[in-house]
Amino acid sequence: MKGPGVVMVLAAKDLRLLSRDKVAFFFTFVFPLLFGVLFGAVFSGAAGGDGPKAIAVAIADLDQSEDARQVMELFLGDERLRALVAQNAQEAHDLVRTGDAEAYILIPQGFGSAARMPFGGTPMSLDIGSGPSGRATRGLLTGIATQKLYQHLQSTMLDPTRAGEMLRQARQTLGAIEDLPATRRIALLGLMNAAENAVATMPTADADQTPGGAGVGAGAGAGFEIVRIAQVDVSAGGVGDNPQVLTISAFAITFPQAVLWAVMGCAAGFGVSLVGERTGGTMTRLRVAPIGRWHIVLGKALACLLTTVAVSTVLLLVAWLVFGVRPVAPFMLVLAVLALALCFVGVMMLLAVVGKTEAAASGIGWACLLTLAMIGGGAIPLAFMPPWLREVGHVSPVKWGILAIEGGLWRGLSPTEMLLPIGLLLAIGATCFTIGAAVFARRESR
Amino acid sequence: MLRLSDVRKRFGKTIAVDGLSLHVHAGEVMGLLGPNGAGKTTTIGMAVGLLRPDSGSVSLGHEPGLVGSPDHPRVRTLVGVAPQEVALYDALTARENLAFFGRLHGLSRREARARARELLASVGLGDRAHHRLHGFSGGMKRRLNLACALVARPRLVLLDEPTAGVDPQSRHAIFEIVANLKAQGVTILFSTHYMEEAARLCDRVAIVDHGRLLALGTVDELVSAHGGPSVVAIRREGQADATRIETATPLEEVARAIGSAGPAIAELRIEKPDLEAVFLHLTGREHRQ
Ligand SMILES: Nc1ncnc2c1ncn2[C@@H]1O[C@H](COP(=O)(O)OP(=O)(O)OP(=O)(O)O)[C@@H](O)[C@H]1O
Ligand SMILES: [Mg+2]
Repeated sequence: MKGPGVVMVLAAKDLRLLSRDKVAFFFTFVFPLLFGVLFGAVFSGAAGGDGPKAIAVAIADLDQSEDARQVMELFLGDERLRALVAQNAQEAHDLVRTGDAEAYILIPQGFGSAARMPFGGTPMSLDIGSGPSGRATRGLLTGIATQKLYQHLQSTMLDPTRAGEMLRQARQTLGAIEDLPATRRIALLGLMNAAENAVATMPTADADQTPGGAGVGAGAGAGFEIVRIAQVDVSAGGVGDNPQVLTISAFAITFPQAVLWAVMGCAAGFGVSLVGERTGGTMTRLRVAPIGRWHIVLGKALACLLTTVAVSTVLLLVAWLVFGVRPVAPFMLVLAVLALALCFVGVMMLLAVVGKTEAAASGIGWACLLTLAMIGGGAIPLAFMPPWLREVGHVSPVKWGILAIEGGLWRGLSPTEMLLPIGLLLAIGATCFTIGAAVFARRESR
Repeated sequence: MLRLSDVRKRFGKTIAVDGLSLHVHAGEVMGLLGPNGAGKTTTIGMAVGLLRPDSGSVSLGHEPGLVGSPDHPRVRTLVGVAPQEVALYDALTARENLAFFGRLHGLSRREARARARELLASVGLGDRAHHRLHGFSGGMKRRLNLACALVARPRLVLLDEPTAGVDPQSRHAIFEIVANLKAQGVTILFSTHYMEEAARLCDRVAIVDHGRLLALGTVDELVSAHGGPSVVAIRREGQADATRIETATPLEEVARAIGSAGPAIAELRIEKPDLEAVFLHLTGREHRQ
């Protein structure tokens, strides 16, 4: 059999193995899809939709804390709701019973303390109730309420004093978990340090960043920002020369991130599987077969490349067909996906040589990938990061990957503008691949 | 077919193979006998190009143009290896494993599938063809591990302890397979701890320890050279214990005992030295790690 045939046989085997590995499948496909859909829904409030009729809801604040008051205001300011303020649970209940309200929302006691300790184990919660016919309403309300809580969390996170306090608590919680693997502990502590530094450089909440102040409480400006981003109108072409105005939905933000999570999942999965060939002994058979060592590397690379491209394509198609995120520059998007895939094939190769066992490779690999994702805007949009962290993010292929995908999806970057992210992706990929493959070849020639 | 010339290999401070030379002729079955840590696996690894010898040379192949170092993929086309540890994909079915490695060895898709079916039947796994390996017993995996080495109809087969940890039934099945290969003229080198196995199947046996070749020859040659004398044990009526006589000519000793006067012979036994005696004589009796 000729070289290309061998590589394809090897890759086909890996794809088959992947299809039977539930964990890998989850990380390469299910999780990214959930990420794209759920966060997109939360950001854009899609769960509530913009139905014509406002829902009448009774709201009672049983906590009377500052946080409860802020969340209450968020509800009062939502035009999808017609809020009736109740004094206590009984009154809220009665309003629903008499049909004055379709449902009720209770801000329970302890809400404020939970809000102050988002990592403390007790999540912020709301009680939502409706009559027997109000099931659908309750679902809708749950979506809106989740969005409000998220908004509130965002705003508190961006308040330096509160963010600092939360991080301290998170650190304590982290310290209390005993059976946390060391690599993950270190990675989390590292993230936390980075976050603390970020908090230290954060502007105070009432600085001039509140856009328009659209009826939201103090400190919620940044929380509102997410919603604003989700609905911003951006011209795909240059200013003025393109009359076509495009509405960017939140999904246009979350799906590129989802693609990156998928691509990272692929890189980690195949990297670990290459380590597994060694620990599982099958590497012996591969090496005894009448094929070259490069075939083994290329087979793994091809499987990774194909999976990455396939998963990215599916995610972007879902974004387009289900959520209406239509790419403004399809050809650029294809280039971006290819460059991204090639880049992470390189990353995969590097991950394949960092650990001697599958557990070590996966632990170290994910620690690196999560860090790259955090600083590269894969979890929190770069816009919310302090300037210095954005600078650090330049080294992350995640950042350039998101930029490249967004470039084809909605930013409408020109070929010259695309040159930078695509070039950097290819360069990072080539570097990682060269190092990884060289280490691999050396290890396997003893 | 396979020639190792003065090969050496060390791992850090451990000298695994220390100047070993071995020539396995075409069509021969050679046993590689040695205690734990003797260097058997390392030797096999060097023979097939998995490990690079620190010094010395390895050459294999018997067709013109296909002779050379196992570093060259082409030279390895005629070689099949069953590693000591089962080396298969657990998430694939038995047939998929075989077919995959068949494809790697250059079989077409059709050939690979047909060969897989044939091999599965021959190792008694025909009804498990479509089961994934997760649920296989140790013995079943071992048999499949062996089958996998044979997928490309190799002319040289190296088996590293193919019968370790299997039940007598599986071991018997594996013997049969090796005997069949031998009948087809396949050259075989296999390592083992089992003396009866080696005595039964091997044309020649190499005994190694501490990475060195201690003795090489047919079982009979080894026994007469290193086995020590035979023992004739005779117990006569009225005796509690047998008298043991060490001798190089046991039959003469027996004839003499029968001809001699005295109480009738109640029990008579000839204990010939065997491969195990040779092995223990050469490698000592103390425990290994
Ligand atoms: N990869 C390695 N790294 C370090 N030492 C090794 C390595 N492989 C083998 N050794 C050492 O080399 C020596 C020979 O090992 P080898 O596996 O060849 O023995 P063996 O005869 O196959 O033993 P066994 O019957 O237990 O399988 C041992 O002392 C072993 O510890
Ligand atoms: Mg061994």
